[in-house]
Amino acid sequence: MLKQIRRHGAAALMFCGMVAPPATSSAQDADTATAALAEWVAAMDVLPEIEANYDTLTGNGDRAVLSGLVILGAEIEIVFEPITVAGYDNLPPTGLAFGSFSVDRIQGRTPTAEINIIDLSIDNLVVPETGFVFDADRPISSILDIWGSSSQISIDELAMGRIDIGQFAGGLNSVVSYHNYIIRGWADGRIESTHAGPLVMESPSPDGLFVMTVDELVSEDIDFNALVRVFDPVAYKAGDRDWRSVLGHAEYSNIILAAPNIQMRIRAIELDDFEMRLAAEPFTPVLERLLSDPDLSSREADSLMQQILIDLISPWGLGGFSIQGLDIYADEIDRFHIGEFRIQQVSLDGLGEIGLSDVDIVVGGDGYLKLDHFALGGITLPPEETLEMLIANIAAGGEQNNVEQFIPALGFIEIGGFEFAVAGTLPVTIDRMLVTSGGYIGLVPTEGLLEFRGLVLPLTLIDGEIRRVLNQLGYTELVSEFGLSWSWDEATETLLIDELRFAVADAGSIAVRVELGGITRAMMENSDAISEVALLGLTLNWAEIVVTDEAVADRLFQWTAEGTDTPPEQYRDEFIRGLPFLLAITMDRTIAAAISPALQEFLRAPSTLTISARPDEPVPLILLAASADESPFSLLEILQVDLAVGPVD
Amino acid sequence: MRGSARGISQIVVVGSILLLGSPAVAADPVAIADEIVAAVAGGTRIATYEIATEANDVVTITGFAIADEPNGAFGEIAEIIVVNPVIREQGGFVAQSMLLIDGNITDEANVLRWDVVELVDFVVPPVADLAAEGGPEIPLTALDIRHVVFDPPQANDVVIEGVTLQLGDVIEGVPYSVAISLTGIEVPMDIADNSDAFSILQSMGFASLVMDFNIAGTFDSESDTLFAESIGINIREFGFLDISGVFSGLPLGLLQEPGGVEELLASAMVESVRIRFENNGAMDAFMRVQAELTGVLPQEVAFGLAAAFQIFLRTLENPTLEQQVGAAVGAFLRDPQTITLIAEPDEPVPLLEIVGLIVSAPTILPIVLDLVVTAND
Repeated sequence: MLKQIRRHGAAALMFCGMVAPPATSSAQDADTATAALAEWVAAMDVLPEIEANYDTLTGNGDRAVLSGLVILGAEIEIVFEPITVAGYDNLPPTGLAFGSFSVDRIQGRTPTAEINIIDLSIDNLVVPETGFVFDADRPISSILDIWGSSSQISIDELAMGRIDIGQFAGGLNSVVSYHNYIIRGWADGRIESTHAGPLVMESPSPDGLFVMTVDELVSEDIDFNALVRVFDPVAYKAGDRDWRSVLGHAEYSNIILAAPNIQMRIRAIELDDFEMRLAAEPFTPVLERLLSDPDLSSREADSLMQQILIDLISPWGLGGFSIQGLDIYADEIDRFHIGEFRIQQVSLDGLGEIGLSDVDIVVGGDGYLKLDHFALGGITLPPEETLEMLIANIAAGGEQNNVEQFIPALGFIEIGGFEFAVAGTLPVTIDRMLVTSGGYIGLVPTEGLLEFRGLVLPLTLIDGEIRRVLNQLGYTELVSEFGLSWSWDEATETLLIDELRFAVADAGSIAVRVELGGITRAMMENSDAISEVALLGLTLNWAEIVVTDEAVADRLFQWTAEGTDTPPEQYRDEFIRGLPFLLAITMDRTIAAAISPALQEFLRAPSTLTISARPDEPVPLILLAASADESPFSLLEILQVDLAVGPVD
Repeated sequence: MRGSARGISQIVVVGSILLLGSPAVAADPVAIADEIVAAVAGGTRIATYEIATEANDVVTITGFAIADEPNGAFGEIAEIIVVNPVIREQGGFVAQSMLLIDGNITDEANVLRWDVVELVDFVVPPVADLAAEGGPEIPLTALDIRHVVFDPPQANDVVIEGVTLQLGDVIEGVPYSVAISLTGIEVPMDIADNSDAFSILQSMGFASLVMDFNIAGTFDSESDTLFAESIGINIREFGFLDISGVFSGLPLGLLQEPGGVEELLASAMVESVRIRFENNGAMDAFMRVQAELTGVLPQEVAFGLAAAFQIFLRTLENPTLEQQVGAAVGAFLRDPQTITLIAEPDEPVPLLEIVGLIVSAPTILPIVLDLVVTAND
């Protein structure tokens, strides 16, 4: 792989040398525009394997016209027709400037590609110094030199009426055409904006013609300096990890990709806040050695790459990337629409969010999927030193210990407006699902939330026996909610289940709150190390169960009564009156007598039953388990259980 | 039971001989008395009497006694009255009726006493000879016993106010119509103190049980059908259970053949069955006891049971059963007066099928039998 990098790097440099403004080391003394152009051609002509000729060069003072310029290189030919400059000025000691620089047509050709630029114009081009020396042993530093020089170039506006790039492969010619390409405000290594559009790409293939069009391509706030400094070891400052913007905003709009029998439309692709920062350690010297040292063995190269891998990745950061308004049209698909796919705040530190919005997919005869919103994020990656340790371990082939330290911590998952159905069945829907977690100790989140709202399950998906009972109770679907939230307090070593709640619309709910004690950090850090002694220390501090009946009792009494044509209210009344007896034959009669009144009141009308257990002292779970096994009803006394009935909220 | 099974059986044997086995004599009272003595005596058993007189075709025998000293059994009948006896040529006699008044039989452990035993159309030859001689085909047509007391050791007396037997529709010596009743059976609770049933009854406040029992039915030999008109047991202040039904496919001749019982059961069909319970205190006592045990009111027990039973039926998922049974049982539990189960299937149901369903799938039985349950009617 490293050899490939080296090869590609060299090719890139050759290309730069061909198409970038050549060295003007001999132009700095030109007093007139014609002299400047003539010397510029001459400078190119002396480059290795480059031949530059022109037909005519006319002009006067700061104006000149260069016609029939042809630059020939190895398997490349570039024709400029003609070049017109005005407002020439030489900038001592080595620079030059043009008030305007224009070319009607530039045509470049290689055996496999062709490029045509129509109507190139540049306003206020200033090139103080563009000379550079490429050192093959320092390829990156050499490029940095180019960039460093380029940062001194300034252009008010560069416009190209059209750029056509053709490629020839397998007898098929594909063409990419940029229209109205404009660069504005290039100065100090920064570009205010670039604009192009429309873009048309036509690529024939054996299966037919593939066409892509983009109405507009825009880039704003480009800063090459932020990029350069990352690769420049001289610029390094220990501890400086501040992000700097490389690209403020880029956007492709109204993209259409068409192939036989399928078409994809994208309203926009946007990228925001592409940023870079210094790596923890400068990596350029090592990277240059990888690119340039032909004597490196693969093993040495791999070792060097492992050494700098995290430093290569860590500088990159992206504020946001999104694909908006994606539609696919195909014979087999009735509808495929994604309102937005987005990635936000991604870097080696973590992932802010990856998400989808407004998904609407219908596949004829098979089913459909709708999704208003999906997001996953708040992901924190392990520290760089941990990742470096992981890479080193993997390279050494050693067994991974404490794997949990390498696993990213998940912040949240959110789903909204989910609806899915297979053809012929009722849909499953989720109004909202939210999972959040935080305070990780290893893999264990010490606080979190799990929430389902408007979870609608058609009964056809449920076990037949349960479905039948629910049908009998008059339910054709279950609209349910589920919630769970928890937090652990290290100081008190308590775990609070603040809400464990399940609710079904038009039925009722059950909510549990409980506090457990004796949960130590050691338990969180290493579940394998939890000893029986530690388990003995677990306690139930208090608990509360709230059962809310909105309609279940009504339906149950009605369902039970209808089998014998008994008036439901009569049956309900008799059941309630008979409840003390039914309880007394199933449990201690004293307990039955104690809880009967509350249960009777609870069943008499839709209401809320609160069962609270607040013992004077925390009760060991081991004691509860033993009591539950031997004498379940003794728990009521041990936990000092109290029942209270109130109205439905 | 604390009574001696052996002693009871001896009493029954002797009593049977007295009641059914006496040979007939002519109007001569001594001859009649001697025939009775001869019929009763045998083996180690000796029978005697004091006086035998006759007036207006009524023979009166007094001081009749039986003794079987090796077996420790003794019996006395104060007076035997034979009404209109007729001497038979084959020996023995036929009487319009015979009354055994104020008798008792005692063995080592038990005492059996009665006030009056009346045998109607009483005949004393061997039964097998009756049809051959062209006379009556059965040894009696009716039996009436009044006030029987059974006195077991170490337990209170068992008293039966009356026992009746009616036989009719006699064909070839077989009575195809039978009616039996026992009334006023008073059973003390201490007679079987190990019985769970008795313990439960005692817990319900019963110091003794007064029961009536009756069986009445006819058999149609042409269709091999038994018409069970009534099999009833009435426990006073408790309740009355009465069962009736029609059962076909019963060729009684099979009983005489090897394996006949099995064949008879296999062919037996239930045409209809009716079971009726009239509550006369049983449910009230049950509810009261359950209420005391659980610390609730008796009515809460009734409501609780009715509600639970309704839920139970609902879980069986048998709407027919629910409709046919649930409402009536619920009504009965709420206000226990009467409950009646009537099974009248469109087609007769094999008895063995019913037995099988009772074991394997009792909840289907009401559907198979087209059971209808009513309450408080």
